[in-house]
Amino acid sequence: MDVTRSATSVTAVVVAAVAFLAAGCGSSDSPQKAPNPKPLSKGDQARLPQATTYGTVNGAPADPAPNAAQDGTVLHVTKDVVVYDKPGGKAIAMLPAQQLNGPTWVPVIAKQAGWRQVLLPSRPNHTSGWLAGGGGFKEATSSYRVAVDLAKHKVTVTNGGKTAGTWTVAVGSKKDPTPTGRTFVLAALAPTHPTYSKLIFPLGTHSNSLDKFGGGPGTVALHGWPDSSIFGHNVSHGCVRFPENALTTLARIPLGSPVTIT
Amino acid sequence: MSKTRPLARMAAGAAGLACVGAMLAAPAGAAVPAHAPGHNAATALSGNGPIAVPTISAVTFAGKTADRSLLELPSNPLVSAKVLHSTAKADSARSAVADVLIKKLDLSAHAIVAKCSHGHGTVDLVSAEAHGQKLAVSPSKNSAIKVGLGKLGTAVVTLNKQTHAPDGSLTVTAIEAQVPLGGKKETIDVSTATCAPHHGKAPIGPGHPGKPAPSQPPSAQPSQPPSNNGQAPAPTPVHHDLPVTG
Repeated sequence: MDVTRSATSVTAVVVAAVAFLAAGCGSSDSPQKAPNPKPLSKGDQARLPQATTYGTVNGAPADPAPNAAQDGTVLHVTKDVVVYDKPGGKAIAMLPAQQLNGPTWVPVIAKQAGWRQVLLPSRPNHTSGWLAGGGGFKEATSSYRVAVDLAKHKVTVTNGGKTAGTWTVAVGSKKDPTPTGRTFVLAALAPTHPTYSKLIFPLGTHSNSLDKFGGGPGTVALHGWPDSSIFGHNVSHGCVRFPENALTTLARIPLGSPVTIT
Repeated sequence: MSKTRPLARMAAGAAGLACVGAMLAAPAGAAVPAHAPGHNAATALSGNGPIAVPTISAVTFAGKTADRSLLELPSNPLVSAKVLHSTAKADSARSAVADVLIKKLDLSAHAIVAKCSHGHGTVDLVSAEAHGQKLAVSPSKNSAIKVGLGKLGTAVVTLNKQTHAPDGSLTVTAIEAQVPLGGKKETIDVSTATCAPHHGKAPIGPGHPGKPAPSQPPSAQPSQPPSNNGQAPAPTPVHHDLPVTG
């Protein structure tokens, strides 16, 4: 739990490489030398948009495979890091080490010569960014997967390929559908004054029909719901609503874990 | 309760949209600060729950430096402490408590200090340990440990708890202990300090999207414990309010 109080942000100078845990990611590392990130002053970093659920990052490359499975490689971002549009490319955002008062964990969708392409929690949906190797994050693996089948109103959570739970759920209405594609578990929140759910799991995706909702940025989440009559129906404003007994299993899912919505 | 659709999709009369479905309470921020918003303030100790724990050395800056001390906490079944001192100034707030013992959690510390200045908070724990585990002198923001109490349940101890109020002020609590008591919960806050944001600009917090104030430390450490053998761990839920689409 030690933490330095230095206010130094990650600079653009590549430091000694950190040994990453081996994890396949679809495309193996290219043998060529990693392009260095372009130097960025602290002032320039401060002017970049924040890649959070509240933010919009323009120029972020689209997820090249928004409906593909993801292998479970996740990054725990330990320092605010610069996000680039490609290895050695233009800086487009800062990915802070905190999301919603908790730690930042994002899924890795590709690697190239020490760089990591990750899904971003910001708008627009299905966007990504590249993080330079050399510090600011640690790699790990999540064995959990969340599969949301909107047509069947069914969610299956697996752990290591084995079913950890399956539930009939409520999903977004025709007017405010739950967005499809791959995303991830962004946070695990315990509301200050819980109303419909003791725990809420915001995802790295947003409603496509609502720019804002209830004062928030239109973040879609997984959460409980006390009225069982809604399950099997399209009634929410985008969130996936679970029976309350699902929360125990949902609470075990590591942040950054892949969520596919079809 | 408001929800906003893209302008192109707004139909006539949409301004009167009924908010159906998830009626979310207006976000109150991650936590309501114990002090008046926008004022530097500090409290050495406070409690909330079935057992009466007095609020000790609570001060608020209201034009001049406020300072209060108590040599020893009045006897109560949950916590003992000495030299409880708080100061609130124009540009900072600080609270310190010595020789703290929360017996139920086997939590002790020689000194517990919280400081807040210009939207930046720090915590110092001197010779602190909980349930046999030594605590870091400068714990990560919002790091939490659980203490099993057998049949009584599980206590949650949050170190260096930092929350932002809607007005942008930062509240730092050095130690927040949530102790299960017969189906209810007692919350004890040791050393809390609140300060206004740097240069009046609100740092990032609930309902305040945007760039962080310059004084806000960029790094944040997890309430989620480090990975085990390369496996990402289960998260520790954080107290935070985000209106989601329900």
